[in-house]
Amino acid sequence: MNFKMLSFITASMLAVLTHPLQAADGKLLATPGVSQIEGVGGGGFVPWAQLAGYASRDEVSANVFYSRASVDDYHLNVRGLQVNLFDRVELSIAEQQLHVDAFDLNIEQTIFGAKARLYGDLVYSKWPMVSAGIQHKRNHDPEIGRLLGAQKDIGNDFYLATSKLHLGAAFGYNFLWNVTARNTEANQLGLLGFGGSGQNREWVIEASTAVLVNRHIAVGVEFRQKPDSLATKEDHWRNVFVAYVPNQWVSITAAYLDLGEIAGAKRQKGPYLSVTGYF
Amino acid sequence: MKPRIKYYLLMPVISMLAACSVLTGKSQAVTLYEEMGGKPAFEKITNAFVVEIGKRESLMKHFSAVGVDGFKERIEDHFCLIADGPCEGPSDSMETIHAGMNITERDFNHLADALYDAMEASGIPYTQSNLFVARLVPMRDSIMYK
Repeated sequence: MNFKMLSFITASMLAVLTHPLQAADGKLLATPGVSQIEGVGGGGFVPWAQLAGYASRDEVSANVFYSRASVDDYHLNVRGLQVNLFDRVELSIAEQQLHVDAFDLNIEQTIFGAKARLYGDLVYSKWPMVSAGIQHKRNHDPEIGRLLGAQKDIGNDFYLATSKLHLGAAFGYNFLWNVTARNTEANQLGLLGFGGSGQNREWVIEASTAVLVNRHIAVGVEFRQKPDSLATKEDHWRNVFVAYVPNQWVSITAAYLDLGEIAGAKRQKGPYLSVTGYF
Repeated sequence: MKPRIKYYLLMPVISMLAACSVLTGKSQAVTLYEEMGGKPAFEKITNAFVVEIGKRESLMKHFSAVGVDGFKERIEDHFCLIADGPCEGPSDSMETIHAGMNITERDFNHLADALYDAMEASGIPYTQSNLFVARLVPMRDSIMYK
């Protein structure tokens, strides 16, 4: 954790703790989603339209999260923080650390995120909720990416996400879906740099669906289309997840990931665990 | 096509079938009111609901001027109507009833949470609870920030 991140966390915590209201609890349990792999409020892979945390339109809230993914030849740690301002704007910062077994080295990346709610409410509005977001990604260890043909070490992703939770729609169970359209030139989230030979910025589609089997547990699947700009193949990502939300202070997500080929290593699969604490 | 891809294609099909079951299911004889257990169930739910309101400062602050017994009777009657039971419902509009209370988004979600707790305490299955809460959604705009 570097000084910039520490000061950001401290500032946000002070903002939350000195706010006249208590820790936010303005939304229905589990509806904010969890923390996705780039630090944004969403599912496991996919940024969702809902803003992280339990702040309703009159509140602010902050969350901290830690996630770990372990596939055959790579291990990813992600930690960070999200701030929700009046359920209008979500700001996030995430530090990713990818351990590459083959070379026994780490690739680190910082992702600054901002998301704005454009329309609607996940549960209550007539039409699906829509949000727009940006992820500013800074790769601190770009050597491997450059070796594989990446052109840049810093990149920006832009996305539009739309979500809806349908009360009782799946045989009486609540059903949630999200579709995100992302404009990106990041290779493997940016961990292998940005761009390749030729024009590489493209639109990709990401989707999640989940069913709330009770008030505390959601089971779902996710799909994330990936660009394929480098010499080594980049497969689309899939997962199956279970999110457990015992109360409005913590959520725990476990998933099984199928990431396909990463930098020449095939059939990368394995478990994922993520914990988010809500203030 | 790999089997894994086929699995993901099933999701929209399942959700469309689910949507169809919601559309066609209620055209059978039984109302949600009867399914949930009729008057005995709704009496239980209303009593539990008032208890849950009592636990939440965000909701109690709206009830300082309201008598509990009168409120219980009116809310049970309205819940009954919402579930397609044989009841009159309120004589005033939701806007009139909630005028001046400035019920916030957070307050409304606390109320929904209180209702879920009350239904759970009354033995109502989760699936029926969702279907009941879904029927409150159209009223939300006329209740909040008035």
